[in-house]
Amino acid sequence: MNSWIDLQLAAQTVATFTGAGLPDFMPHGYCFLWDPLVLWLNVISDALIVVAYYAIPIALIYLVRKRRDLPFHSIFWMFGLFIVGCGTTHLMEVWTVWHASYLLAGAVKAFTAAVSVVTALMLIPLIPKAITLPSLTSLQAINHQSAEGLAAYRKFEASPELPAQRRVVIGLVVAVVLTCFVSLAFWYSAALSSAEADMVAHTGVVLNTLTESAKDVVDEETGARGFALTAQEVFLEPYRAGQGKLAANMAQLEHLVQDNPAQERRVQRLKLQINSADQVATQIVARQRKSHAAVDIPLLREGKKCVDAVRSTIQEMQNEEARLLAERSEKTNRARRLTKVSVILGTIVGLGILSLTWLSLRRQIELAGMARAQVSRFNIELEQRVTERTSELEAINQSLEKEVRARADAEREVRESQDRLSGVIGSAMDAIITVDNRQQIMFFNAAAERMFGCRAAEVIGESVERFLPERFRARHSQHIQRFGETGETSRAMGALGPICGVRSDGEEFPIEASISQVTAGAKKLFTVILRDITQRKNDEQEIRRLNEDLELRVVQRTAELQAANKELEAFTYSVSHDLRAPLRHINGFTRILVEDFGTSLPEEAQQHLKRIEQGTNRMGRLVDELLGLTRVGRQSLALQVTGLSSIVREVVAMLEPEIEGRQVEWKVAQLPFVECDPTLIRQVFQNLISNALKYSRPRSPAVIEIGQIENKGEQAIFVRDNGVGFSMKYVDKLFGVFQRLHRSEDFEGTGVGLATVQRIIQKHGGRVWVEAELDRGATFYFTLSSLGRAVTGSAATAGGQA
Amino acid sequence: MNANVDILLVEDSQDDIDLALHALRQGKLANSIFVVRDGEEAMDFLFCRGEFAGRSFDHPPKVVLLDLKLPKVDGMQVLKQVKNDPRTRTIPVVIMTSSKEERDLVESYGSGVNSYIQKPVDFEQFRGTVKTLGMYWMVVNQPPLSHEVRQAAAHER
Repeated sequence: MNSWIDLQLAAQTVATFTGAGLPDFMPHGYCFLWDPLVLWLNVISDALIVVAYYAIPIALIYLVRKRRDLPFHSIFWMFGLFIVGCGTTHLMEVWTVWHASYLLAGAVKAFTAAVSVVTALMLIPLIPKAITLPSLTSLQAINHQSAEGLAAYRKFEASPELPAQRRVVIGLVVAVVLTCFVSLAFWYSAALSSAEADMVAHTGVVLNTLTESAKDVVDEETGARGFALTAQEVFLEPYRAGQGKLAANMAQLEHLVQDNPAQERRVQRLKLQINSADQVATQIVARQRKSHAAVDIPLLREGKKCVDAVRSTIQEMQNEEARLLAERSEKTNRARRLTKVSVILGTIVGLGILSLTWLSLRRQIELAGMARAQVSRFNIELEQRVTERTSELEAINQSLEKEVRARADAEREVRESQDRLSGVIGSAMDAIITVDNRQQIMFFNAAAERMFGCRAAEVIGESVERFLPERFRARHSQHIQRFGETGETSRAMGALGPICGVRSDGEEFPIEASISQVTAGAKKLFTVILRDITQRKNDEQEIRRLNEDLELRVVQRTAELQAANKELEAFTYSVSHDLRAPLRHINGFTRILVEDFGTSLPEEAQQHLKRIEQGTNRMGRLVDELLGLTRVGRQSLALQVTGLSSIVREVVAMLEPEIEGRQVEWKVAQLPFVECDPTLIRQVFQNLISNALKYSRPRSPAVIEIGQIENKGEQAIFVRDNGVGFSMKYVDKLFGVFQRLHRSEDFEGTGVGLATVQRIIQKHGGRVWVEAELDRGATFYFTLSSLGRAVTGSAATAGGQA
Repeated sequence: MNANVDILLVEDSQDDIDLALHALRQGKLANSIFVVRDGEEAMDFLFCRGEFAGRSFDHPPKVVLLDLKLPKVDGMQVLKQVKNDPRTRTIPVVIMTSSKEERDLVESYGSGVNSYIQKPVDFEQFRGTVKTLGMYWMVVNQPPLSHEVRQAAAHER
């Protein structure tokens, strides 16, 4: 009986513990009516969910630890907590199947709910941020860019640490799973113990009730027998007590064994047997009351037989209950052993895995330490190298700075030069366009903008052909190509022949172009300089028109002049013929008068006649000289190489008669041979020498000097005398026709001679001038255009002096 | 009357004629002078036609003193006619004129003139020139025989 009490106590303890102070609630398993299928379906599903839920935060923690670059760490932690909460909630589901710890389960759910709500609230503001996170494609692009870095990183990751880390994680997961499993086994064992206690208590109650029932039956039979034997009412007390208690005991027994059909059948049989015993006992009692003291022995025997049957059935039932108890205990013990083995094995395996994990972790930590040490060693080396490299770099930097300064100077110079150049190009009056070998415009200066009426920005990159009329394009293209092939560097303005340009408004205009090519890098560039020659063309046309006009006028004027010349010739011809005739007549008849009748005329009349004669003679000379002067103007030069010395000699010889009786000193130098009209030059010498003789008439000896002199780089012939000279203030009049500086009474003359000299010299492309002083003589100079290239070599052969 | 003319004076101006005759007379050369007053008359005389048709080529003047400026036919034309015709070519022609224009000189000599004299204004000089001239052509110069001239002329034709 002690073992029964122990079992009951144990059952109560378990119930108190698992009921968490709420022993009134049924465990959740009652909801499943303890149907094994429903129960285990729920339990296993919940357990799997728990495992999964506990595994997810581990994965999350691993991910977050690995990917420290990932944003929203707090949300990850919240997720972890939330999932652990969910897992625990499911764990509680399993727990409450057997234990009515609904307060604890509710607390866990409340915690999970709080965490869920907070997580959800935290998620809301993160959604926009999450949307702006880089997309997969952009991340791929970035990944691609950092491919090199990744490759290096992978090399590092490929070290044995990665599997080790994986091992640790797997180990941890397995350990957790095993721990869960051990806990489950433990709780399973506990649940088994509880069930066993319940069953022991149940069996105890059944046995008790059976024992009570057996005692009651015995009490009733014994009471009835005692009454029958003694007829004393006292024996009827146990009989009545047994009879009263039996019904209640049987009802309880019926209730207790309703889960076991075999026992139920036995209870029914027991009930029948007890009823039989009760009826027998009741007959015994009734017979005693009827026939006092007549003990019916067979009936007593009958009563004893019934009680034995009851006893036998109760014994049978007690045996059955004991057998059931033993069987269940054996089953429970088996399960307990299995649980024990599982717990021990699970713990051992878990501890083993944890140890391995710990070892792996240690190894990793060691490796990390080694790596860190290596890294710090590397760092030190690296720092050394960085220091060395830094000093190297500083040196390089200094030289670079120097170079940079030099380059900056050079650049500034280049820039200034470019500025100057672009200033020149920009302010150039000609359009300057640079094109590449595909004729695309690369540069377009301000003059080009003005010329074509468009902005440089509009045409850069366009073909230059847009500025050419359709008909020139093919030719221009060929020309540029040919030009590019010849290797010539430039062609001058107008080398392209007459071409036209087209302004933006479609107006064509003539241009003159020059082209040059330069090679810039691998590119061949052509610079075309264009000049708008519209104005020039107009000017040329105007000039042509004016020229034509002028030519017409020249023709007209020539005709006029020819007519005038003819008239003049006719006039001089007339003068030559007709003006002299009357003079001859006057002179002739005056002479005849004097000769024939002179003796009969008074002296005074003869003087007058003489005056008339002289007058006509002077008039004749005048006419002759005038005609000579006009003849110089009209006649063209008959040039031939002439020795001036011989001309002078002839003239001097011709004038000899005039100086008869005078003392004249001639100083005639050697004169050159020149190309001239000898007749006219003879006239010049004749006039000049006769003048010299005439105005030196008062001198004795008269000195006449004829020679050559160099004056201001040009050769001049001079005729000098030591005569009366004249004042230089009248020099302007000297070469005018009919101009005289002396009275006719003193020095005869017509005033035509020097005019004739001037005209002849001018006709020979020379000039004539005079230097004189009153009473100091005069020097006449003349040059001839041919005098500079005088044939002096021949002069030596010219011969003697005059 | 004009069968044997030594000097044919062709001159339109009476003054000039008088002066020339005066000078010739003083030079003792005035005995057989014939004066005609224009070119046409001179041509008629020399080519023995018109009023001078009675004349003969066999008796040409010894010299012709020819002025250039003449009425009707000028002196240059007369000269050219005379010098172009074989019958008269040998007659000495002396141009006596006021002008000494170069072109006259050139043309005259080109046409075969025998002498070209500008009449000086001074009468004394004129007289000297005429005297010399007369002496030369009358006395010094030797003309060809007239029948030979005729034969040559005939032959030329």
